[in-house]
Amino acid sequence: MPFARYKRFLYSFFIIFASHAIANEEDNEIFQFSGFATVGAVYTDSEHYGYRKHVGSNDSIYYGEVDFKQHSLLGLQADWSISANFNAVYQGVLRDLPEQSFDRLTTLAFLRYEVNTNWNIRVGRTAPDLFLLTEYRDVDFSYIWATAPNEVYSIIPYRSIDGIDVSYSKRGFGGVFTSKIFTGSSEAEISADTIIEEIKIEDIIGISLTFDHYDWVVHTKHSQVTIANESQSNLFAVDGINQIPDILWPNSQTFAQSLLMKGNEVNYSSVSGQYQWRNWLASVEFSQINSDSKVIPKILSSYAALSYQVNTHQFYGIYAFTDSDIYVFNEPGVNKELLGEAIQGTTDLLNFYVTNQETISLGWRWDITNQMASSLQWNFTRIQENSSGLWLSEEDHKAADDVNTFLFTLSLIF
Amino acid sequence: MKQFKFILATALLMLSIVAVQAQEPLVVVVNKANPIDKLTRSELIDLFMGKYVAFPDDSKATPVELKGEHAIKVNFYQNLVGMSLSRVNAYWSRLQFTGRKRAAIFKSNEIDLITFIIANEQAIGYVPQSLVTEDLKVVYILNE
Repeated sequence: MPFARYKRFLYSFFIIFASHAIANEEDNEIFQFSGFATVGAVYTDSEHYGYRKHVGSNDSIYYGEVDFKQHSLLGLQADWSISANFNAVYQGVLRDLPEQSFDRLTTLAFLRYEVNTNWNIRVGRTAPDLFLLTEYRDVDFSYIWATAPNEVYSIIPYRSIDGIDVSYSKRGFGGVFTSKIFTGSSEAEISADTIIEEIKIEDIIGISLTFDHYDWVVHTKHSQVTIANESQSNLFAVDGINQIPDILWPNSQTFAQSLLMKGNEVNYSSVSGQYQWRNWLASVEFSQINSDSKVIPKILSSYAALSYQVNTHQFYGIYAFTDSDIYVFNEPGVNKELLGEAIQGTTDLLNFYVTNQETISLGWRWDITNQMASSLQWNFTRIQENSSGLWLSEEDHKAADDVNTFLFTLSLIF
Repeated sequence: MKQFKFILATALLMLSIVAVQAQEPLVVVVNKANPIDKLTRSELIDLFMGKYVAFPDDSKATPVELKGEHAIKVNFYQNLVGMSLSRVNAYWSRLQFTGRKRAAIFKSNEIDLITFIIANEQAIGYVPQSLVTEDLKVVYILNE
């Protein structure tokens, strides 16, 4: 079935299911309705670097502005138990997106078959299990912090995967071991200062392993994806370089071809752990992105967090960093005097995904009720020169800078 | 004056029921036809925290909970995992809103919860010990 038809079929099915479910909403055993919401405010003190929640966002916040859009969202979910082993789930999340559509709004739309207690199969749209929090980073009530650490999570624009996953769980060694394999495709937007690019990935193959021992849990995840389309920026750069004669840039066409991303593989890996001891909670995650593509550098990111609970209040600190190699133009035999603009454009393109920064965060979460919490967080971020891939810059600013960001979120579930 | 005395007596009676329920042990119960005789604390945590929703023989379990912020529910989770209800809700929101697990079945009061367990062989829930009937089987006792 063609992909577009498959999507239409899936949406029609879930709209019918939602209408039917609404008519029978009193029965929690068959139909479950739930949701989550966040009202978020952000203030930053940088005149040069615009804060954004993730690289998909084409809006950013500069000094003197208070933004309520980036972190605010509303998620609604319906779960229909069709039979003892079969259920259907639909989730839609209204949030700030560069391009609003029903397709982007839909974050979950799957059918689950529970083969037995150990085996589960889900077919349809599921959340991406690339890193620890990528499945639930928009459910702000579910974690202590005001937002998932930008150093690790801002670079991932994907909110869903269309495909299939199979998971297996088993008790053992005093805990529960869970493994999951998944495959499918995904689409999302990545925004630069002046352009919004649609990114498509296909042939996703991923594995996620978890061992949960109640007070401690470890996860390891690895996914391999293939880039399925070419970005307009790349095509523009390739066209430009192709027109440069060999006398000014030897083998320019070979270099230009190396900028094309379609068909290249990207790998996402993550190792994380969490330990709870009395009122203390410690979390750590290491993640890595590497690729065949010249445009996507190897990105190593990590965070370590510690929180302490006092009654309904949790106080926390996070240290996070991201590190990648900066591209410096050094192609042999190129006439740098005449091709200054082309060299600058190429350098900008190859440094688009470069992120070198570290952030120290301090915050306070208050569980106002059992379904509502507020988080107040201060981020101090040190951005290195030519490394601001997670930020937008109106003036094409590339200098090193220190930025203070203040986030307040009021999150709830219902 | 009579009306005032009646209201006072009713309030004191309700308070005493709440106090008794808060002090007496909570028990985890299943349908009496369920072949499981007892659960360990670790199995119970796995089951109610959505980690592994099955009995020790790997047969499927159906947890049933009290709706909202019922005092028995608060007491149960504080005893079982040492967590406030807000933290339990935060934990469950990860499972529910990623579609990993279906939320438990919720009942408004202890009577409805017990009725559900009696009608469902796979059901498991928690009640004050004094509410255990001969149709239920106790598989774990908390805060003895």
